Amino acid sequence: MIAEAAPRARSRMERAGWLFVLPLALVLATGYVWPLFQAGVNSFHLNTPEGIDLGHWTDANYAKLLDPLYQSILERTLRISLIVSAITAVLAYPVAFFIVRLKPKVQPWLILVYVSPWLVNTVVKSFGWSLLLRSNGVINTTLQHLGLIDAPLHLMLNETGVIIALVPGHFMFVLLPLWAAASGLDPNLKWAAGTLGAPPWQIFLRVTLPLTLPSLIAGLVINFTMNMTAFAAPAILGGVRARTVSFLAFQVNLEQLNWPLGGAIAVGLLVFTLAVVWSGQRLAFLAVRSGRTRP
Amino acid sequence: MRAFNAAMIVVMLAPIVLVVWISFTPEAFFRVPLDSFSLRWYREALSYPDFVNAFVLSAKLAALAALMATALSFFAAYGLVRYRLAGRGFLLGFFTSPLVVPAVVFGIAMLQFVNRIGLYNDLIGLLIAHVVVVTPYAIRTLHATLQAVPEEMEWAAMVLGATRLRMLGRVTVPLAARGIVTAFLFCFLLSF
Repeated sequence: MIAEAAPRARSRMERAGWLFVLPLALVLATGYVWPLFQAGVNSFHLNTPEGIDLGHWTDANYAKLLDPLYQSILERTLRISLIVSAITAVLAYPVAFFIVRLKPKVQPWLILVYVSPWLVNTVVKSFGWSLLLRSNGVINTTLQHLGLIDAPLHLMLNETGVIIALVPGHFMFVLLPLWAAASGLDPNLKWAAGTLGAPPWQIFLRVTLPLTLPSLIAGLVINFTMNMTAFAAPAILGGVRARTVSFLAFQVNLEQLNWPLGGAIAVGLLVFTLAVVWSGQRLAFLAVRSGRTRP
Repeated sequence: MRAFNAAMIVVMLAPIVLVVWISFTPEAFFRVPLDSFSLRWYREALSYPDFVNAFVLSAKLAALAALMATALSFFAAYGLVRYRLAGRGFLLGFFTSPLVVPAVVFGIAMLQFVNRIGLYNDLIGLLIAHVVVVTPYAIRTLHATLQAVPEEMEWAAMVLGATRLRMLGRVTVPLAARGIVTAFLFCFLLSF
C-alpha cells in the first residue's frame, strides 16, 4: 500500500515544485533566451534598405567579420585583454600575500578597497581616469611641473589608456580567488622547502605557484573575458582610434543600424567568450589533477 | 612590499576620489591644482531637470528590477531546494548563466528584440533586461540561504494546519529574511 502510494506522492510533489520554478524560467525564456536566439537568427540574413531580408539565409555577415579592418580590431582587443591579464597576474601575487599576512580583522577592509573599483559605475571611473591621464590632466601637469617631461605624454585615446583603466577595474577577479588560495596555504610547506635549502624564488616557483595555480587560472579566465567585453573604458579612454570589439558592436548596431552584422559580431563574441571559459575550466581542472599526482 | 601595496591602493582609488573631488570645485573647466571648494555643481545638477528625471527613473527601475528578481528568484530557489526536480542542476546553471554572457552581447540582442516587439524606449524592456542581468546574484544568494533554513520548521507549520503559502509567509520568509534583504540590495546596487 505505502510502497504504491509513494511514487504518486512524489510526482505530485514534483509538479508543485515546477510551479515555483516556472515564473522565473518563463521570464528568462522570453527576456533572455529568445532575444539571444533572435539576434542569432538575424545574423544569418542580409540587411537591406527595406529592413532585414528574412527570406534568404546567408553567411555573408560572418564572412564580413574576416575583413582586415575587423580583424585588426579583434587583434587589438585580444592584445589589450592579454596585456591587462598578464599585468594583473603579476601584480595580484604580491598584493594577495601582503593581505594574507595582515591581521584577520584588517583583511576585509583592504579587500574592500580592491573591490571598490568594481562597485563604482564604469562610466564614472573612466571619467576619473580621463581627468588623470589627459594632456592637461593631473599626471601630465604634475610631471611637467616637476620638470621631468617637456611635452605631455600621450596616456589616453590610445591602447595605453585602456590598459591603465582596465587593470584596476578588473583586478578583484584575480585577487579574490588568489587571496582565498593564499589563505588556505599551509605555512609549514614554505618552511619545509626553506629548511631543505630552497631559495625564496624556488619556494615560489615550486611550492607556492603550483598550489595556487588553479585559483589563478580561474581568476584570469574571468578577468580576460571581462577585458574582452568591456565597453565604457575603451569607449572613453580609447576613443575611435583604439576601437575594441565591443565599441565596434555599438557602432554597427546603433549608428549604422546594421543588425544582422551586429548580431554576427555578438554571436562571435559570445562563442569566443564561452570557449575561453570552457577551456579555462579544463585547464584549472588539469592543474588541480597534476598538482595532486605530482610525487 | 608595504610601499608597493600603498601605491596599488592609490591606483585603485585615485579616479574615484578625483571625480568626487572635482565635483566640489567651482570652475567650469578642469584645471590642476584643485584648490577651491564649492557646491555650485550640486546646485546646478539639482536644478537641471534632465538629471533629476534620469536619477528618479534609475532609482525606480533599480527598485522594480530588484524586487522582481528577488521575488522570482525566491520562488525558483525554493522549488530547487525543496523539491527533487529532474534537471535541478541544469536549471540552477541556466538561472546563473546570464553571468557569462557579455553585457555587450546581451545588450545587442535585447536592443534588436525590444525594437522588434515595439518596446523601444519603454520601461518594460529596460526592466526585463535588468531583471535578467541581476537574477544570477539573487538566485545564488537565495539558493544558499534556503539551504540553511531547516525543513523541520516548515513541516511543523504544515502539521499544525498551515497551507504551504501561509507557511512560506510566516515561517520560511522570516527565517530567510537576511538572505532576501542581501539579495535585494545586491540587485538594487547592480541595477542602479
